Amino acid sequence: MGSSRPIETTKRLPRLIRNQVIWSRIAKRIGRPVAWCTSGGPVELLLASGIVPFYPENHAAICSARGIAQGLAEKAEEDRFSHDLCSYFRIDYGSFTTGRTPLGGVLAPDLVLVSNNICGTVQNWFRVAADHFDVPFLFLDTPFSEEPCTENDVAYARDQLVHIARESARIAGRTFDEKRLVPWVERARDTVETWKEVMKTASAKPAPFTSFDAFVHMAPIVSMRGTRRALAYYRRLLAELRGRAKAGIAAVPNERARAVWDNIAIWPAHRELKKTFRDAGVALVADTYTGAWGGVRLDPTDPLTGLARAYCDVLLNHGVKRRTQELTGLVREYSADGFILHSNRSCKRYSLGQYAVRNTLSEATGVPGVIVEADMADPRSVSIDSIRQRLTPFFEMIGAHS
Amino acid sequence: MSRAVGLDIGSSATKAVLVEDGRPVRAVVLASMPDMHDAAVRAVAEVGGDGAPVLTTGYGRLLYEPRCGDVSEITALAAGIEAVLPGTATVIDIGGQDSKAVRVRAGRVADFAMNDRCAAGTGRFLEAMSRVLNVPLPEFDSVLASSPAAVPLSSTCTVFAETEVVGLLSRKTPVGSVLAGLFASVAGRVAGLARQVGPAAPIAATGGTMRCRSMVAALSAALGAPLVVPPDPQVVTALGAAILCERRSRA
Ligand code: SF4
Repeated sequence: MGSSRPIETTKRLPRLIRNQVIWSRIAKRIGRPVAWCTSGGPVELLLASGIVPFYPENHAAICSARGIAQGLAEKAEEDRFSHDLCSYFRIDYGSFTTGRTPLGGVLAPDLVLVSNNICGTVQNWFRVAADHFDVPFLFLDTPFSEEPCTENDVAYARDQLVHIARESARIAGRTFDEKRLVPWVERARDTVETWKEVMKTASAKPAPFTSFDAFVHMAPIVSMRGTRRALAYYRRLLAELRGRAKAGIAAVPNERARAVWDNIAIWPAHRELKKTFRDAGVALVADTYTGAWGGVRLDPTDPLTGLARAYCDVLLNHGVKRRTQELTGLVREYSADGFILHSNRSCKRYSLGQYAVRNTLSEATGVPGVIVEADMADPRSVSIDSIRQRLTPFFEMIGAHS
Repeated sequence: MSRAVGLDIGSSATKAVLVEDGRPVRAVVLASMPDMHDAAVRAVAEVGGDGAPVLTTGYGRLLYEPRCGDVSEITALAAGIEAVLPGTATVIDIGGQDSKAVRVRAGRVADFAMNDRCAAGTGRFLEAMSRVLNVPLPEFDSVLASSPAAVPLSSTCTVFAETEVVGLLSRKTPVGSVLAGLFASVAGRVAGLARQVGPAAPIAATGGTMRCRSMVAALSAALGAPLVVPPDPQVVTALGAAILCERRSRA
């Protein structure tokens, strides 16, 4: 117990991602179209037509983790975009207008694919990008609702998916064939299921895996969902984590308390925060962010309807009630002693109503929660001292201390 | 006999309390600036804590060695208030650079909210205004006593409030009325913070700012509830740290 060798599979992650980047570049060079896609976009439709997806949100997170976010965001502000807009947008905008990126060159899109199931910001962001590169803008409108989506919503989304599938196939010089979609959807489903199992390993005590790991390991589920490589990667990770759970290898040595996280990671402070939790003996056992993909269910017998439902049903497309339910489930399932709500200056949809969530959640679960204010990517809105200022008393409250 | 020191290294004042067998025997308050570390060392010496274990808290808690540990102000405050006002359910503390509201259950933290982002609603705000008005802090109460009604201030931001105050003074608004307006502004901010934890009675108020009666009155009015202020409101957090320290060394 207590030992904390790093997770072996992690070593394979950089190469997996690097290969994906290299492969995208080669594909582009040999004439495959590239599509910029939102994290909640129906990527399977692109893959089925041989289109290479690229994820600007992911890219912005990488820029932030590599410490170049500020200059890029400032470029957007110089071009008169408000500082209050999502930092992923500002960073990405700064990158594609200046050509600065840690990935060795901007991968210019031939089309963009957007769904507003995560927020309204992406709609405008990708419009700006589509105008900048002068490429087609494909859009999936998913009605926001407090309740689970209705059959009407699903039918409405399905109609749009048919259009997106045909249009993107046309851009790729093909005709859309639903049969070709099936293997992609199947693998996407299997990958999502495997990822869910990966996250579930953290319910063991002590947890062999934390959300800090998940924040890193989620990259393939976002950007390579549906590929064989991603599936193989998660299967390997799952096998390793199950072994670690059985052997009692803890992600946080001397785990004293467990907590659940809400909202996107704080990339500029990722390392320091991971250390802060570790030093205090607090395992971050689950979160609503990396689980956002875990909730997607895909149906290969009727791929389009299955996709329509899955993409309407993502967490951010529902209100406070659903987020509270989700969190309540996580606190119970992972035996958490408390929860942390990251009030993310950038992401309004995700952060709205957190004070209400905090109270309802505490009442429902009987465990305390704390709100920390920061930003997922803009270092100017992140103060590690101020975050610790709140985390320390919270940790003391849930029975851990540094 | 067991002895322990609680050392609260705050942004404006450093407080040390010595306890012996659970009872406070001496308290010292020193200015933290210009050298926080030096202030901390002197505070421990002056309180007579040489050789006793020291548990630190406050903004500068990590800069004092040797310490037997450190603890957040929130946890220390909860332990301290239970010692001076047992049974307190909520404690509101206005410190030099932050303000906090803590729900307490038997000396332990049940919930808390803090403002550490904005000078409005902290001691800093009042210090800044003391400079603008040219009224030293200890004279606030007497200036207020002789004044007509408060003028409402629209700005909560320290910088904008300063501009507003200068404007009011130039229009010959009595200093006391401006001051009353400032207190109401701070009290309003802090009451908002306290509502986040759903303040339950009895409510105590601590922090150096609470030595000023007008502040207590303004806060009580803003909350619509009576407040209890312990005899030495500035050292409650340090006392809590001392008690926790003694408990830890016994364990
Ligand atoms: S972080 Fe929030 S606002 Fe920004 S793109 Fe994602 S969902 Fe939209």
